[in-house]
Parts: sequence; C-alpha cells; structure tokens
Amino acid sequence: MGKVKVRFFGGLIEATGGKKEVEVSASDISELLDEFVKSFGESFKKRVLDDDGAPRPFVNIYVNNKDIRFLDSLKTKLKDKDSVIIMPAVGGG
Amino acid sequence: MSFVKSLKCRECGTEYPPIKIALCKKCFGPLDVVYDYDKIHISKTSFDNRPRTIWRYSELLPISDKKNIVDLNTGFTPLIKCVNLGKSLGIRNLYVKNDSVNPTFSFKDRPAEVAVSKAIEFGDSAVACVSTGNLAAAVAAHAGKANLPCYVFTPSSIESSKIAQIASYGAKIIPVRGTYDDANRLAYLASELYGWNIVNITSRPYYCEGSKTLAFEICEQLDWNRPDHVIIPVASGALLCAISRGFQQLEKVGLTKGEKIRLHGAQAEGCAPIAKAFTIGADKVLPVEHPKTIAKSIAIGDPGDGLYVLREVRRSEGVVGAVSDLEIVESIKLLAKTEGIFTEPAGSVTIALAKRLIEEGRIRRDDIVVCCVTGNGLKTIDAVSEYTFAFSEIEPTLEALSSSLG
Repeated sequence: MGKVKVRFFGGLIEATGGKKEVEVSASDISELLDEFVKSFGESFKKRVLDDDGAPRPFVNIYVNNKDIRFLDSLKTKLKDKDSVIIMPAVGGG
Repeated sequence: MSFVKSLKCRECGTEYPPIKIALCKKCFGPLDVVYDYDKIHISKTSFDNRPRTIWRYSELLPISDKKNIVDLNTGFTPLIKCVNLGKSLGIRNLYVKNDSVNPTFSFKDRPAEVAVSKAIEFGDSAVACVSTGNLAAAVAAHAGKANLPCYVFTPSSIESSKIAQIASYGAKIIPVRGTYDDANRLAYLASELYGWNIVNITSRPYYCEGSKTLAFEICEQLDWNRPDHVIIPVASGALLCAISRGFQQLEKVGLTKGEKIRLHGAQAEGCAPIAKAFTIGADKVLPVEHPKTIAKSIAIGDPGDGLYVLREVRRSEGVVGAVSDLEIVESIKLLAKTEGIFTEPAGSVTIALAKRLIEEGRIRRDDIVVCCVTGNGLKTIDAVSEYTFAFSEIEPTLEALSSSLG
C-alpha cells in the first residue's frame, strides 16, 4: 500500500470532473482504478476502462514515467511517493 | 476555399467542427478530416495547369485560405519505373516513389507543409513536433520559411546528420534521453501544460492529411490507374493509414476505380510490434520497450495507429512484415546500384519486403508494384557506413592503382 500522487491530462480531466491531481492510497494499479471508479463514478469508468476493468486502448498509464505495460500492467505495485500519470495515448510519428 | 465538412472520430463516430483538436473528447480515438465530396468537382483534366506540388490536390487538403500555405515545393516527386531492380527481383512493373528528393529529403515534408500552414491558419505563434529526425527537419524548415519559432523533441540517440540539418533550420532541439515514446510522452505533457502546437499531436488530424498526397500522386503518375501493391514503411502507422485514405478519396471523387490495392507495411525486426501482431493474428499491438535497429526513423515502439494498420492491411489482403538490419543494408545497396537511388534504412525496408513477397509468390511477375522510398540516404550515413564500404588509400602512382584494382 502506497500513498501516490496521480496526475490526469487531456480528456482524462473531464473524466474526473475537472480534477487534475489527486493523492490516493492503493497497493497496485488495479486497486487505484477501483478507487477512482468509486470517487469519480460512471464517467470515469466509461471513458477509461473497458468491460474487463482494464484501461481502454487509447488510455496510457505511467508509474514513475514508465508505461505500466512494461511493468506488471494492472498488477504494478505502488509504494509511497510514486508518481502516476494517466493520459490519452497520443499518436506521434 | 476549403471543402472540409468536419472531423470525425474513427472509433465512436462523434463529429466535431474543424477546430484545433487532437483526439475525440469522448473516447480519445483519432479524428479524421471529412470532406464534402458532393461539392468537389474535379476530373483528370483539372490538373493540367496546376503546380507540381501537393497543392495541386487542394480540394482534398484542409487549408481554407491559400495565403496561409507555407510552400517549399513539396511533393510531386518522381515515380520511377525500376527496370533494373525489377529484373533483379524477378518482376516487370516495379516502381519506386522517390520521396527522398522532397525539400528536406523525406516524405515528412508532406504532413509538415500541411501542418505548419494550418498552424498559420490557427494563428499559432510557434510550432513544435516530436520526431525521430525527419519530421523535425521538415517542420523546422517550414517554420523557418514562415518565420515561426520551432521546438523539436527527439530521442537523443538520433543520427548526427539529422541533428545538424534540424539545427541549421534554426529550430530549438530538445534531445530527450530515452526512446521515441519517452520523447512523445514528454511532448504531449508539454502541449498540455504550455499550450504548444505539437503538430503531430495537437493538430494531428490535419497533419496526417499531408501524407495521403502520396496516394494521389502515385495514381496520377500511373495515368490515373491503380497499382496492385503498395509497400509502405511503418512506424506509428499514420503514413499507411493516410495512403489508404488517399486511395479511397480518389475513388470517392471519381478519379480512379478498379481492382483492390494491396497495402503492405514494412517494419524493421528490431522494432516490429505491428508485424508481430499481424503474424500471430492478434488484434492488439503490444509495444516494444527498447527498439533496436539501424532504421531509427521507424523505431517507434508504441505505434499510435497500429490497430488501424492491422485493419487496413487485412482489409486490403496485404501483409505487415519485418526485415532484418542485414536485409535493410543489402536493399540500400541494391537500390543504389541498380537504380541510382540512395535511401536511408527506413526507405529500404520496402525494397527488402518486396523481395520477400516476390519470393513467397504473393507478388506476381506482372503486378504493378510501388515501393515508397521515404527518406534520403545522406541523412543516415553514420548508420550504414560500416556496412556499406571500407577503403584504404593508395599512393598517387599507376603501380599502386594497378595493384589496388587487382
């Protein structure tokens, strides 16, 4: 269980009802997303998660600037002072 | 005047007016420019007296006022019938679309010219981009011409020749330690925090439109016929999707009709997330954390348009294939030796894939095949020189010459 700082960018800010930054306690990303569904409700769930509760293809999550797909995806552990970014997957290239 | 009707989300279909917007607000899907095709009246003769640049297709480009165009004479590059290379590979109708002779020596002048022109139209006071080098040079050159400040995010590992080129155009280079995807993430965060127009992120729907002019030119240069196969380098996948859209739009406005065009995507083995998904029949593209290939221009580990490349290639019955660095170097040399065209690794992946598809019988002897050669070999001398030549100097005497010739 860690107390982490989460920052939202772009359209994600609408999914949180305007919140750009929050501090949350969670043991892993899965639990973190559960917390957000509780606090931000359906709007967050519909925009960010698919039917299985995983991030949709156009949403990227980073822990300490590393894409969670290169870590343990939803099971990526969180510890105190970790920094989490949730943002739209942008094209580039 | 512009024939743009709206921007439409490729995923959920939500439509937006043609404003500056990166993604669908509802689902974060990519947005495509939609034109009012009923109002566009062009025929094959419409092009007789038009400029030999991308702007000859202005009805299908998203710029409202011609005075905003930043024109470096981009486009209408040669479509070269490669008899020697074709003979060497065993086919009769092989063409190279030689985009290495664009103003900044890659196809990226096409999207950059549209994007910087659109930035002028939006009244932006600066432009920026994230790039493995070619786009950065293209945006920097156009920004210079338009007298706009330019910022470019690049992975710090890009070729020194590209850095020299970008810096010469006067851009501020922000070299990011890490991969393209690291630079891309930082650029996106900068666009959110500072309001910068990162042209391939913030105004991506318009930016992508420039690349489809490759499809228009290929058909026009084949006397408005459609090729059977087009082989395209794939990094983010935006180019392949744009070319596919270009072919579809030509049909919509009545300039071409005919057989299916098979679109093939070429990646480098050291960074081939889309080719891997294609090969195993997956619908998801798993990113590559540490790309490793001499084809740095196409070393994008997390391709934004990966899903759509799979969709377009499967729809057209093409393939996405990956070639090794060795095949890349061999293809650079083969193209140079047989046709006098010197390309960078990212351009030669198409020749290497063509060779394989011919050997596998997927391309037949009489098919019309176009390989998109997207960048110039002089941009990547460092990457290939160790493979391509070695020499030792001789004394300036006839004896030394004679013995060196063996």
